[in-house]
Amino acid sequence: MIFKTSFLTLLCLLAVAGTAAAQVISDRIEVLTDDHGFFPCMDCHGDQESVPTPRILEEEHAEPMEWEDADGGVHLVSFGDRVAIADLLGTSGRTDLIGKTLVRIGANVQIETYMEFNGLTPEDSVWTMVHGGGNLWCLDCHDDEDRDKLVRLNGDLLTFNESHLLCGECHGPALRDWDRGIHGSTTGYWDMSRDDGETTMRMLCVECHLPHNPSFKPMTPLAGPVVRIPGRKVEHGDEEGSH
Amino acid sequence: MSKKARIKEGKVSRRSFVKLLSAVTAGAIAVPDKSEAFNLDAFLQKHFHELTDEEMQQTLDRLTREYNEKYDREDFSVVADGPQQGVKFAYALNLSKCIGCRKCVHACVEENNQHRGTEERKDQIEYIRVLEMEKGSLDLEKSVHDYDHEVPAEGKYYMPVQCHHCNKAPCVKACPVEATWQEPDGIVVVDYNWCIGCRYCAAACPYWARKFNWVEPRLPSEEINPDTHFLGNRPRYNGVMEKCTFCINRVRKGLNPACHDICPTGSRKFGNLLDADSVIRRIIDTKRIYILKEEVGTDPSFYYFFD
Repeated sequence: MIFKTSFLTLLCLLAVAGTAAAQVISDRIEVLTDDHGFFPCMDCHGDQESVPTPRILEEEHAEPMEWEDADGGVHLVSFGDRVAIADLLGTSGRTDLIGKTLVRIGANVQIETYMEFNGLTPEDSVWTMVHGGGNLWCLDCHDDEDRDKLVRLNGDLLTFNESHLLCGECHGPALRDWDRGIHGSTTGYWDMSRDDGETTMRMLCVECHLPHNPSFKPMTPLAGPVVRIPGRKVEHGDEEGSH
Repeated sequence: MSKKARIKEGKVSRRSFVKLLSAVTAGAIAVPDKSEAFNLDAFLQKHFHELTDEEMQQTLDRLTREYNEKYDREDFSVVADGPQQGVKFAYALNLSKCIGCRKCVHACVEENNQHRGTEERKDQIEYIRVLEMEKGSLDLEKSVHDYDHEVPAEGKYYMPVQCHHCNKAPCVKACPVEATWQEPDGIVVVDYNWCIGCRYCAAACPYWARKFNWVEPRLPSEEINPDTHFLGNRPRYNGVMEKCTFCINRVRKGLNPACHDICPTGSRKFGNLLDADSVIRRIIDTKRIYILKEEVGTDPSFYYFFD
């Protein structure tokens, strides 16, 4: 008798708890906030929320991999390799300044560039997913079956090396300007005829913009000019050569 | 008349004069040839445009030797690479992207061997001045250049100003000794050995681009960039004018200026104005261009743009 009463009580309690949990999940589905607890990706990758531990893709792809460009050409590339933008975009005939500049292969390499530029460590808080202001979630960009692939709006898959094409689906004018060399950083030669083939580099989108948190973060500027008289701000008319 | 009496009357014999001259010459030779001491070769050095190829090479060799000795190094290189045919340099800066971090300012100082300022004040010479401007305004009088808060600040944008390498440069016109001129590739340069330090050019420049060496430049040996150009980043002297040269030591080798490569936001763009497919031409063709103080008619090679 005692056993039966306890069992019924426990059953009732479980039913109440289950209803409450279902209500919570239901609320989340309706609201669709950027609460990462909702995302199924986080069932296995919960550590991605604030302190990600990116997979070391170099280790998973120690051997060079084949990758087919838009023209059907097959390239054998390793992580960290530098390839011409013309190859990356599949515009084989392109030999101008922009087409001949190089980009780095491998999302991890690109993120490392970002971290180096911004003095970041994986422990910094900027890794939280804020891109899209809560209107985006993992599977808008990542393929749900192949985590090494990104997915375009039309369902086509992209490698991490072609991430700029994915960015361009929402940020078309930025991609257009990047392709012209107007948007983004380029280092090395202005005169590509004198380039040694290794110096001139173009940054891909994610080398300057962290994909999950892309805006530039406020930073402390380097030291400003020393004013002539300590404690007094120099008016511009006080500097030599000014009017 | 005795010798003493002749000297007293101001009359010096030929023998005495030759003896005196010999003694003075021997004394001058005996003085160690430090760079601080009077340098006859430097004193007699011709204007850059008057140097023959042979004299130019001798001058470069001498300068290399002097700098190596002065800064206790062995890797100095002073070159005088000339302009490239069919090249006219221009610079464009994206005012929508600059965040005012001043990385360009400091990269410039390191690349161009500027005076690092006194030990106490660190009042180094800087070719680039980043102005913090009110959004929606181009009023330079309301700008601030010594801001020290986090950037970018709310309601502000940033306008770095440096030499605009004007095609009708007032500084060139103002120089009384032709110590500054515009090269065929558009770079306005200074012959530091010809400059007399009158500072007329600084007074004439509407962009605050010229900087004067009021003291002997302090340049720690370990901070020197030994890859130098005669008209650019070779160490300067006390009492001469200096300015941005688009990093002439780099751009004449086909490289971008140092401020361009260090920019974390890609705001700075550099290239050949005569190449229709260059970045600079694409910007001029497709973006809204702003020329600072266009009304003064200096026809600069430096453009600001928005996107």
